[in-house]
Parts: sequence; structure tokens; C-alpha cells
Amino acid sequence: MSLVNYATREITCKIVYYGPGRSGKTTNLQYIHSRVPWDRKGEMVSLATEADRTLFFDFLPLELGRISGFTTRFQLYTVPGQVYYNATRKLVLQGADGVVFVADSQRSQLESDIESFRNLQENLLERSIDIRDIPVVMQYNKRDLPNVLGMERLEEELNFRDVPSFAASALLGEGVFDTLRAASEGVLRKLARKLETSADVAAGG
Amino acid sequence: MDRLSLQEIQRAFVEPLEDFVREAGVRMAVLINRGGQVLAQSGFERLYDLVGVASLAAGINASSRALARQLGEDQFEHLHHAGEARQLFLGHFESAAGQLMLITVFDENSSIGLVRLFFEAFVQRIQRLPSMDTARRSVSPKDFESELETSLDRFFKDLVGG
Repeated sequence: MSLVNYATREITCKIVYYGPGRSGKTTNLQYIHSRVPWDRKGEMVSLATEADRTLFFDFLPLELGRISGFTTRFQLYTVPGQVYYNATRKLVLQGADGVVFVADSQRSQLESDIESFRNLQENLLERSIDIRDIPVVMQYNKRDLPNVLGMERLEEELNFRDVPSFAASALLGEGVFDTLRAASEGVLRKLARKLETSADVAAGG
Repeated sequence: MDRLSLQEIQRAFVEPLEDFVREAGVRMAVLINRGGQVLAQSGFERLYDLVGVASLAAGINASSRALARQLGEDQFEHLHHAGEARQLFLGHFESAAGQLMLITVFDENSSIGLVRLFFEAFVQRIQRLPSMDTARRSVSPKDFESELETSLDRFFKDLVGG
């Protein structure tokens, strides 16, 4: 849940990168970390196994700048993609303000993408969050590889809610910032609506 | 019942935290919520060190809680990790703002006994605070939303050096 601190005029939001194993979630964060100036980011924390698979999460704090006088910060997390790490995925999802779903565009990975997206819906529902109520952005990653499915097919299989979607090659950085920008915008627009509701309550009360 | 504004909430957290740091003789302390967001801190010099510690501690707390539940417990007691020179204490408690956690780092100038003692006193002070009023109108939602797009354009241009 976004934290708005009126005293220090700071907004902190949490975005979780979700998706099947090896779809490129950590690569997204690594690319962001490599490109953002040092004074706008913190250390990237990676809790990974020896084989570089995410064990618990990766974490990257990022400062965007000021909106309406509020310093806006994002905390980017990834979840471990492998099926058997579901317990840790649920923990990382706690308090998420927005989700980037990183799908692997390779033809052979479609089933894993679908299963992971279903798993996202289930894990959100377990926390009584309807996936329609949280900003989600789709990223179709690994577009630079051969044997990828067409964008239309991926949209049809995964994006039946018609959320913002982007083609990406995270290793090369393509589509990484477009995805993050769309996710940030979704989260902050939702926050603005929430501010409006709470302001109405305050004004009415 | 009295309700605190958010500005008052922040002040309300900072004073007990600073008293805890002084009385227990610890080097650093940070108060976070379950999501790992920082509510008050003392002793951390660099913001990003602080948020890294907060996110890792929130992860430890969440996984410890999940493990406890699998074993039929609601939640384990506080966590204490001792290194050669420095020790870490993670204590959780319920408050009007939901479950909060105090993370503190100490060395030979303090002890786990002292930390536990003053942690209990700290928790009591926080739990005596009145409910918190989060609906405080100090930002215009319309201004915020109208600034959003241009701000994001600017941010991302800066970020990627475009």
C-alpha cells in the first residue's frame, strides 16, 4: 500500500515484477539499476541461489522526483519465478501497489506464462485483492530471440483485461523503461484517486 | 477519541524512537511497517542504506511469520542475530497503525537484555498513541494528477539520459 507521509512530503510505492522462472524479471531491475544515476537509486539487493535464480526477492529503491511537492520513491521487487517458491511469492506480493507481469515470449514458454499469470491472480485473491483493482502492466520479454510468439497471440492468451503492454528485450534494455513508466503512472493515478476519496471524507467529516 | 494527524504521527514516532536509542545505547534504530516502509529512523546516514535494511528486515519478518504459521504458531518471538562486533534485534508489535517492527543495531555498548527492556517501554509508548487519521487534506488530488504526466516525462528523460 502506498505510504504518503505528509510531514516529510514523501510518497513511497511498491511495484512487484512477477512472471515465470527465467522470464527476465531480475534482468529488468539490473538494467534499470545500470542506467539510473547514482543519486537516484540505492543498492540493488539480490537474494539469489548459486545458480543466480532468485530465491526470495531482488530489491531496488528508486527516486523519481517531485510531484505536487512530494518526493516520489518507488521500491521495485521481483519474485522468484519457479513454481515451488509460491510461499515466498506471496510474501513479496504483500503491500504491492502495482504489478509488472514479465512474460517470456518464446513459443515453448507460453504454458509457463499462463500458469504464472493464473498464480498471480490466485495469490492476489488470497489477499482479497481482485486483479482488476491493482494496476498491472504486461511486458512481453525476449523479443530478440528466435521462435517467439507474435504479439497478437500473446495479447490474446495473457492480456484479456487489455492492460498496457510492451514488447521488450530486457537484456538489451528495450522496453524496460517504457514498462516501468507505465507501471509508475498506473500506481500514481490510483494513488491520486485515493487521495481524492480521502480528501472528500475529510471535507465531509 | 482524539485522532492524530499524519504530521503528529510522525512526531509521535520520532520522539520515543530517539529516547529508545539513547536509553538502550544502540547505534541505529528504524521503525517500519509490514511492507518495509520506513516510519521513523535514528542513526542511519544514507537514505538508501536505510531502505535496503528495511526491505530485508520486512522480508525476514514475513518469512518468519509464514514459517511460524506452518508450525501452528501465530508468530515467533522477536529475532536476534549476533555477529562478532554488531548485533541485530528485530521486534514486532501491534499498534493502531497495524503491525510495526523495530529494527535496531547495537554493539558492545549495549546488550540484548537492555535492548529488550527498552523495546518493551518503546512499544508501550507507541501503543498509547491515539488512532491515526490518515484522511488529511494537504495535497490537491487534481493538481497531483494533472502534474503526473509532465512529471513522469521529465523523470524518465532524466533517468535514461534521453
